Amino acid sequence: MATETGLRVLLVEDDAAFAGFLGIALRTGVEPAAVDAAGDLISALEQIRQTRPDAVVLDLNLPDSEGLATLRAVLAAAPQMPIVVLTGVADVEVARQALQLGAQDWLLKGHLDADVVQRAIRYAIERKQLTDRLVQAQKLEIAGRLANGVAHEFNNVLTAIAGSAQLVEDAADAEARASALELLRRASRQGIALSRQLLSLARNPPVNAAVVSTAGLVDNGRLLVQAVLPSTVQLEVGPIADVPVRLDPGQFDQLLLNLVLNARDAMPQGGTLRISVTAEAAHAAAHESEWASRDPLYAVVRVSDTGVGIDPSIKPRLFEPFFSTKGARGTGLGLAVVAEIVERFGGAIHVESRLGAGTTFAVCLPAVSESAEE
Amino acid sequence: MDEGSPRQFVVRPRVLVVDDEELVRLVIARQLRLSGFDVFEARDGLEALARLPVAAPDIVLTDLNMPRCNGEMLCAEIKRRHATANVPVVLMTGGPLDETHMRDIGCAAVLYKPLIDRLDEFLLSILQDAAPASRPGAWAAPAKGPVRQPPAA
Repeated sequence: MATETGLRVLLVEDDAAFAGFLGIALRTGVEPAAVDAAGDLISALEQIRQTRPDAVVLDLNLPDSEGLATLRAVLAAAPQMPIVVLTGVADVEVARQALQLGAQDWLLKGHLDADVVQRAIRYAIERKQLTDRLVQAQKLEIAGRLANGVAHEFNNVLTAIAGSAQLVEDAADAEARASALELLRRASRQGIALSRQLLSLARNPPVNAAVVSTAGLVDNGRLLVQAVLPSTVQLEVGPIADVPVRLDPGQFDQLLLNLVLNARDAMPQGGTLRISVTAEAAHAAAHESEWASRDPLYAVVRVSDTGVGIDPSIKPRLFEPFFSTKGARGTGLGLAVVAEIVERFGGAIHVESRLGAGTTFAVCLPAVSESAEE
Repeated sequence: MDEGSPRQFVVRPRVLVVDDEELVRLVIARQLRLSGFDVFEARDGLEALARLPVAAPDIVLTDLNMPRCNGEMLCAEIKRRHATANVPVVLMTGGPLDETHMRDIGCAAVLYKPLIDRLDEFLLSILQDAAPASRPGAWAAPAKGPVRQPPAA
C-alpha cells in the first residue's frame, strides 16, 4: 500500500483487538504508514526478512516468546531496525531495560492515541539514524588514529615485496627463483590482508550482521591492532575461544580498535596489552538483567592493559558521548560507539579497573546456538 | 669464510640485520648475502645485543620499531659499549622519525622503508666512510653533519 510518507511499519501484537486499534492509528493521521501485522515472533522475523519495514512496533509478550528475549531475537535478526516496544503499566522496569538493549522507545498500552503512536515511530527512526551516523562518523576518527601505524605496516610489506622482486630478478637458478617467488607471495598476502581489514572497517551501513567465529574476528583484527601499538607495548593474544556470534565484522573491528587505542593511551610508558575470548555462562558474563539468565552462553572478549587505570569518579561517565580524558587528542566518541555497537548485537560491556594497575574491558556477546540458526 | 683473516674481512663485510618483521628480515638478509655480505640476523634489540660478540658485525642495519628493545635503544647501547662504539648503525623505519635525535645518539644513517634498490651499495658506502675512522674515539663524525640520506634511486 503506497502512502504519503512512504513509511512501512511492522506491527507485532498477538491481541487482535489491540492490533486492530494500532493499525488504524498508524494508517491514519498526519503521517499515515503502510502497516504489516504479525501475531507471533516467528512470523514477525519472517516479515522483517521479506518486507524490510522502516520500524517495528513490538509487543514483548507473544505466544512463542516472552519479555526481553523477544526484543533480543528481533535485534539479532535486524540490528539496524528502529523498534518501539509495547508494555503494560506493570512492566515499566522491563521497558527501561528494553531501551538499554537497543529499543528506541516504548509505549504504554492503554495510554495511546494515533498522534502519540505516530510520533513515537518517527522519533524512533530518526534516533536510530542518528546513532548510525555517529558510529559511521567515528570511523573517520579511528582512521585518522590508524593512519600512522598502517602506513608503517604497509611500508614493511612494500619493503618485503620490492626486496623479494629484486631477489627474483637476481636469482641464479630455478630453485632460488622459486623460493624468492614464495617470499613475494607471502608479502603480497600480508598486504592484501591489511587492505581488506581497512576496507571492512570503512564499509558503510547498512549493518551487515552475519554469524562469525570469534577466533576469526580476533585473528583478522590482529594486523590492525599490531599496527597501532608502539614497540613499548607488548601484545599478548589468547586464550581465544571459538564461539559463533552474530554481528557485523567491520563494526567488531571498530569496537576492538577503540578498546585497543584506549589501552594504548593508558600505557604511555609501555606495558602489556592482552586480548582474550572466553566462552562463559550467562550468570558470569552479565550479572544484572533478567534476560541474561535465558542465554546459556556468551563470548566474552576482554581487552586488558597494564596502564594507569580509571579514576573511580569518572567511571559512571565512561560511555557518555563526548566525555573524554584526553583533552584535544580525544573526541569522547570511542567508548560511546563501543557501547552502541555492543548494544546493537544484544551484548553488554563491563569495566574493571584499578588505579596504577590497569583496566580490563569485557565485551559480552550472546553466542549463537545451533537451534537459533535453524 | 669466517676464518677472520684481514683479507676475508675486507671481501665479505659482516652485517647484523635486526627486524621483528620476519619477512622483511628474511628478504633483506637474502639480498645482502647475494651481494657478498656475511649476514647475521636478530629479531629485536635484545637478541641483537646478545649476538654482537659472536657476529662481530662491521655494520648494523636495524629496524626502529621493535618489541622489548627498539632500534634507538640498540643504537645507544652499541655506541655505549667500548667494543662496538665504532660500528656504524643504520636505522630503518616505516614511519616518521626525529632525525636530529637519531644523530645525537650516534646513528650513521636513516633509511625509510620501503628501502632503496641498492641497499648493498649504500651499506658499503657507509662502511667505506667509517673505515678510516675505525679507531677508538674517532667515531664522533655524525654529529657534525646531517644524517646521511640514501642516494636518489
